[in-house]
Amino acid sequence: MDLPILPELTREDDIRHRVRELRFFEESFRRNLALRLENTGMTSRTDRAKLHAAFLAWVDNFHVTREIAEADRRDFVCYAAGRMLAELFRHEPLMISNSGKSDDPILLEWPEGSVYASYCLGVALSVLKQDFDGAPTLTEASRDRRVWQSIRENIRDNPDYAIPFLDLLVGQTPNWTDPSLPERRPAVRAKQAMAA
Amino acid sequence: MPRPDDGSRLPFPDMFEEAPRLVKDMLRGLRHELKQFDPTRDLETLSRDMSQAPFPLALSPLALAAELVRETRKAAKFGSSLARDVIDPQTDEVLLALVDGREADRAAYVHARYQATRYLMKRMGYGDHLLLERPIARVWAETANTLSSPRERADYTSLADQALRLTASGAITSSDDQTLPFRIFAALSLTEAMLALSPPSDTAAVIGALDLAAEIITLRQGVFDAIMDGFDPVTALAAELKLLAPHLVES
Repeated sequence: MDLPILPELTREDDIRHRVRELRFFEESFRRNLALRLENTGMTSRTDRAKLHAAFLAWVDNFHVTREIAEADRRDFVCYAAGRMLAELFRHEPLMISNSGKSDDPILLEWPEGSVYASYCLGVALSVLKQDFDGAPTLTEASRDRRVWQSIRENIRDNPDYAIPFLDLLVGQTPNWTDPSLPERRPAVRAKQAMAA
Repeated sequence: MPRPDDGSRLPFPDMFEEAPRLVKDMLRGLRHELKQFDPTRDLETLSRDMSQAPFPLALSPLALAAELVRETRKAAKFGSSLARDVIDPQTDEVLLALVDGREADRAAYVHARYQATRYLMKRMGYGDHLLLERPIARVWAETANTLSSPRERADYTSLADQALRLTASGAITSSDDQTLPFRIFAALSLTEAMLALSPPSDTAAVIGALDLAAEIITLRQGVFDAIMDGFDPVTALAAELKLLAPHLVES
């Protein structure tokens, strides 16, 4: 999966904090959209109010769960990016015509999901690269159409499945049982068990 | 050094300042009444009532009142535009006093908040509600000893307190929705919090902050209505401003 926004985000100073600003979030989200749809012939419409609502919902959750970050900061970056993806799925700010051309079958089949995921992956990997000495490469699952079809079906019932889905793509152990609870994440429980 | 805006120490300047505010608010009330008056609707109602009467009059009231309707409409339009030009001149520069917090003088503080509130009301779809200036001046006097200033960054508790005081002041009268004035003044406080966290602002930045605050309060209407109805709205609003404002400004 292409992440054209990743180099640009990585060049930003202190991307971990910048992405918590609504204006930067909106600007970089739109930039990622433009990059993803470049030369595809696809057209898009972004509902600004829905995009802002998704961001505010993410902010609410961030403030409630940020204490968990102390347990495992690296893992929390993945959780926070997954939560952002969940809020984008929940609020659906994008409408994209899927009558374009692209070498990326996932973009053709599910353009909105592909754009949301590429943005959140770009954010997660740029933070990991800046703050944790390097980012992982995306797993094979990111190119597996069956994985994308499965997640598309599952988020209809519960958008929070976006969180373990993003974990799967970046190689973190997913928590499919309680996706929205950061304290139940395998990495956090492992750290807590070691400390006990 | 005595503060010229402290009403208890220097009553006369306040009185001189208050008199034009009183006249302006009276004109605003009159303009509001004129806007509510719809001669066509009133005459149609009268006509309907007359036609349903058991013994209709020989002369139509519509024919007799046609000229009166035209003249009344002209007078209402003239009065409304005159009032707008005289009492609410649209000068965006006054909004810059929002950046100064309590360090602005009384007249600048009141005028800036009046214009900002007027702007927010229009943005949030409540432009036809009456807004008065004197209650805003009273809130200034009530909170004259508040220490908040832009140098202290955003003083969320003072801004929340200001929103609650303005809501209770009667500056916006709304009989059908009690939480409406709170939402508008919460948007004003959110704007001020954003400006306090931002680098020095120009008029465009202030208007941008007002636009964003209006949008955010509308998006989170349920949250703000719950704050208004809650046990301790000042504390809850201060917490909400503290949570939101840093995410709405650029570092």
